[in-house]
Amino acid sequence: MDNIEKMRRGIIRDMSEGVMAIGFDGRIKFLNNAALDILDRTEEELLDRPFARCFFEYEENDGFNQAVLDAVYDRTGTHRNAVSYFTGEVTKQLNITTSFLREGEDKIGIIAVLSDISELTELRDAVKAMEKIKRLNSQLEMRNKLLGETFGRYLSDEIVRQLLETPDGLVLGGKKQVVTALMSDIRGFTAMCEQMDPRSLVTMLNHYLGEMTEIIEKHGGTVIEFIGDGILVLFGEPVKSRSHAADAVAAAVEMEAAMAEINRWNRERGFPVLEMGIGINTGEAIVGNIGSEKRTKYNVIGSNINLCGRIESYTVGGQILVSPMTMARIDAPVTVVSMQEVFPKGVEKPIVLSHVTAIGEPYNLSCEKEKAELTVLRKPLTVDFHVIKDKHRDENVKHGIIRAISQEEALMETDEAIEQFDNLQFYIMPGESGDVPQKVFAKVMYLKEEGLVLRFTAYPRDFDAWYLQVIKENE
Amino acid sequence: MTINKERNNDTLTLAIEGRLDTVTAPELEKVVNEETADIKELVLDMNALEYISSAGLRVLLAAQKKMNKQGSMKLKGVCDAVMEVFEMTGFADILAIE
Repeated sequence: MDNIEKMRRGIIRDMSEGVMAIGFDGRIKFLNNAALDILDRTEEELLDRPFARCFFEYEENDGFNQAVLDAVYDRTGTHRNAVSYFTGEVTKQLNITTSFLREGEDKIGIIAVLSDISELTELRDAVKAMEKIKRLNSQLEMRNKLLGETFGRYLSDEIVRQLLETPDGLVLGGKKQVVTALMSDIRGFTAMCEQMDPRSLVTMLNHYLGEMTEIIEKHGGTVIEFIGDGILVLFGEPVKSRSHAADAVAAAVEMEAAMAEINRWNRERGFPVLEMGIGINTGEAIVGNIGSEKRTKYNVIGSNINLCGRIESYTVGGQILVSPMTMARIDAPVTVVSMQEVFPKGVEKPIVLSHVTAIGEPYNLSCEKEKAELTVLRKPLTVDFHVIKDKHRDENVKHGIIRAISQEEALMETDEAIEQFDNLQFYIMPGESGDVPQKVFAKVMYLKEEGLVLRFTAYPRDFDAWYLQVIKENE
Repeated sequence: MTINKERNNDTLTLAIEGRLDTVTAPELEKVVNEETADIKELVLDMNALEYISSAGLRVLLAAQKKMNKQGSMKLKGVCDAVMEVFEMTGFADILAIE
């Protein structure tokens, strides 16, 4: 045997790929060690035996056998296939390359070259599985983000968290809890709605509500509802807090203090200046998921919530009125500038509301405003007014004289029988040319020796112009 | 693929028309398993057989094995192309081909 032939034999003997040769009579003529290894057979089992007897036992090997048949059916070129091969015990993945061997016109046989790619296949499958997991993961992340962002926009994070994490979170129903409710609203908002264009109104409102919401959530409050310009906030549930009464007052003080910045923002854009009143009450209420399966809302109901709304209706712009039940639950020092006895619907006897302007440790917040000085009028204004009782105007026209005025207050002398906290309605004539008279509303804050101190509670459109005119004429 | 069956006492002749491949081989397998209980000779008429795959060969082999126990099986009418396949894969020695 010459050296080249020795080399060839050496190569075939040592290579890691299996080589199997089938003669033209259909018998296996040659196998290298690698082939025996891959096929998991011995030489005795295969050598010089008809191919037909060797690998047709298992249906799993149809692909393997077909690769050999392909070389018979199509004698041109080589056929490459990836096939499964079942040894009788394990299944392997093989690359099999078959070709038809001929010498001129003579058929010599079929050559098959085998390599075991089981490991590679496993690896590839594992990579595919991992890629699938990665894809699913990122899809999941996207969905979670969307859910959180969408959900979170319509419900506070705390409500969302409770809904998703508590086993009962989505269950309909409520529980009775002692909570503190806060209601705020903007003076004269309805009139503003009619005078502003819708886009500006919504822009202004969204900015205001956004600022308020941030403050509310900072103090552990949860916005239950936006009712137009009004906000109903709950403290104590669903975000638990022992100091819910004080938290609510702190939030209210910070909200009022924020109005200065909000109004600066408004003025920059030509939006009206806003005045906000806040009412706070503490007591038992039903909280929970209220509604039907299809339409549910985290809500709070009860007479104490209604009372909170009623308390708020007594406020003037910039004022925070707090119920005695809330005051009783506050440990922190609170600054009360005045008290007002009221007898609203739903209570058995009159209650005294506290006008709060600041709260001490640990909050240290204040919304005390410098009150504008009243300009004493050298030419006092004679005014006609009506008293408003329970939203109805008393048709008796009453008379008074305004002796001093600021943009927020007025000092009025009158002989009429007017009481503290009465609501009055005046008319002003803004233009000189006899424009349509406009209504101004004011509340009697307290009685001084010189007269009644009135606080304007609702301003008509041309109030500023009229006020400037009054001041000018007074110079 | 169609299998035309002709029964003659203990002899069953199956004329196979079309292709015997992965899809159609199970059909032949079924006939062999279910309809040859009392058959002594199974004849497979391959005149109209166009093509046979490894699945078809496997079924033939299994049929031969079965019939060897209860009688005999033979193939007839095998065309040249298919005959060559039988020869080069060693089936010519195992199957009884007329």
